[in-house]
Amino acid sequence: MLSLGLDASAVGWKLLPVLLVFGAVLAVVPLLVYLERKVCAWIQNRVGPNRVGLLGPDGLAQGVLGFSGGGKRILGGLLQPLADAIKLISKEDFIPAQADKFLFSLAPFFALLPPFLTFVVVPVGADLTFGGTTVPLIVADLGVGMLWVLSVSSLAAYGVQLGGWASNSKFSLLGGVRATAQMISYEITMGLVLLSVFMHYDSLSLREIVQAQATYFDPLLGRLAANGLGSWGVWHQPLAALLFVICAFAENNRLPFDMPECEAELVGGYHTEYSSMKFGMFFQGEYIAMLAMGAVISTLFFGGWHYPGYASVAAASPNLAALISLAVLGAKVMIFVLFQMWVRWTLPRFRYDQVMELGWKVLIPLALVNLVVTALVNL
Amino acid sequence: MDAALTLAASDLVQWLGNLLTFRLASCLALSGALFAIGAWGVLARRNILLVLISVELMLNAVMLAFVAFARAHVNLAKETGLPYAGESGQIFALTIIALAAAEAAVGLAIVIAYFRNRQTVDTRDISLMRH
Amino acid sequence: MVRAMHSMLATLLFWIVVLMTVTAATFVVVARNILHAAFALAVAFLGVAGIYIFLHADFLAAVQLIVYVGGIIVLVMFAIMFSAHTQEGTVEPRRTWLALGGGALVAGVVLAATIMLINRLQVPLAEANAHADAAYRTTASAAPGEIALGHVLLGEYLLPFEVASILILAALVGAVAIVRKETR
Repeated sequence: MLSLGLDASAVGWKLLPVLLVFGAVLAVVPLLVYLERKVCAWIQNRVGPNRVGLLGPDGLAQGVLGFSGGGKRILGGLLQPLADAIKLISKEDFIPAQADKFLFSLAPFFALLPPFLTFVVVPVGADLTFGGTTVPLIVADLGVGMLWVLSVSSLAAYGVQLGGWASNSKFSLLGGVRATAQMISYEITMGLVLLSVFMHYDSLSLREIVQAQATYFDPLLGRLAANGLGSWGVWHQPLAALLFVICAFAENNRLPFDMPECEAELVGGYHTEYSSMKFGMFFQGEYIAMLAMGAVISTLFFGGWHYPGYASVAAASPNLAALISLAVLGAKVMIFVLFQMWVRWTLPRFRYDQVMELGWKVLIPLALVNLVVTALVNL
Repeated sequence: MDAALTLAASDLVQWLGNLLTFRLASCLALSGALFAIGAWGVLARRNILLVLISVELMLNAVMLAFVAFARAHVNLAKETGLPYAGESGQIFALTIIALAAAEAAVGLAIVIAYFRNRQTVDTRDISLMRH
Repeated sequence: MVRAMHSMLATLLFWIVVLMTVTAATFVVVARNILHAAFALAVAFLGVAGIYIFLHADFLAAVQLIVYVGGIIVLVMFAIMFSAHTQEGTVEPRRTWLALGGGALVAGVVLAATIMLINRLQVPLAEANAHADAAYRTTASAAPGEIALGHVLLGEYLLPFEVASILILAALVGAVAIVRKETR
């Protein structure tokens, strides 16, 4: 609900979660780029980026201060994303002569913006309290939170479709068409999965879903227990969790669903013709989408910011408990991001018809079965 | 003279304020404008896809009118003491959305099938039945 | 004071959304490039979703985003890409000013008639919103009316709901049957 009816002092506090969430996302993205290259290198038994760092013979300290730090490379490569960014910005921002200039320039924004908007409804931590003012760590607690997640993820299709079409290149167009078809197909499964999650929790608000995962019925104790791992949604909706994770891969166009990019056949897919910061925005958008999907998965199925022992910490100091909860959600999100990287560098790519067959003939029927079973259980 | 001018100015401000308040008429004006623009598109465009698009615009205008009227209905319900049934307007809108989705699916299928056969989507060329 | 400023800001925002919607809708009709027109339609639908939020119909706004912006328009763009041989093929070559002008005239008459009809409807919607939401204030964070909407949809209006679902199924099968390549 778009209700801004609050007094002036609360408006200032309202900005805190906004700055916190978006600042954190922007700060983490370069780190993820570095991490992806390192993870890829570990899996392929290589070293990965190890030159552009702080200390060491090639480090920033050596270049600026003349201080080599003992000649050993420590965390070499940590500044590689910075070097990449400088390279991207200083490259020529090329627009093909026959391209549709307006849509060509607009498409990268649609790749960047929707994943950002997903974070609006994700509760990132327990409430903070400052001198009597309670500050919920969520940008906007929409009553229709889950539908919001679904609608912004459907907006992401515009970026790839418009980008692929506006480039006026056959590789881009094929990539764009594939991407859109794939995203629309997997969105159906995603919607059905969210529907069964909604049925289970009786709420569309992600905040209430997290709260519902705080307690669970312990069969050993024979009563409601608080804050155990047993209260996670994944135990109640295992099939839904599995389907949602698969759909998250497909929505983000990550391997094994990276049909739209598919270097082997389509050069670079929808971003073949993009260069400089426009390419950089597609690139960043992918990492923000990974973070967003990690946040939604951990919120829906893995307890969100809740952790064992929250109640006892909160009894002693609510603010400390809230800070720990922030870190806990961050850790959960990072685990899912690492999982996505691990999968990307391990699995081979599907063929396009296999992607469609999996989506329509396997995932949608499974999601329907899950929906019917959930409905019967909750009858 | 000054007093009269001030009065006129305050009248103007009030009139503008009345005009610009968020009220039923403003929503319906938007709805009417969208419907008119949609009708314009249906009459003026030659590409059959754009005609379809304009019809969608008109459908949206109607939905908007339903929802706005449903909201305004609460005052009537208060005056008459009858139960508030504002959700009924939204039901209409939801049904229209469902019908629009069905219409788009069938319409686009027909357009694509036609393009396969005749290589055109221009309404002036779609005149087979006239000959 | 804060409350007055808040309501003024909300009104301003409302008119900005209205302006955006009407501009985008006009662009749908006058744009030469069909794909640009489809994109403008997406913006117009986004604006209508915004108006739904002003009318406290959050669920409807979300459905509008998912079905219209995320579904129907993407399909329309698909159809545009498939029904043009080249990228230049999506630009309409010839314009008849007679058609544009005649259409505009009809549209203008419709608009004028509508505005004359609705000018008497002075119901202030902000107040209506407050009254209508009052009944739902007690439910934690569920959107006002959302629960009632569900009850009405699956209670009083169950028959239209089911009829609509059957219609969608029929349309789906029909669409597939129409576009399927015939195998002889």
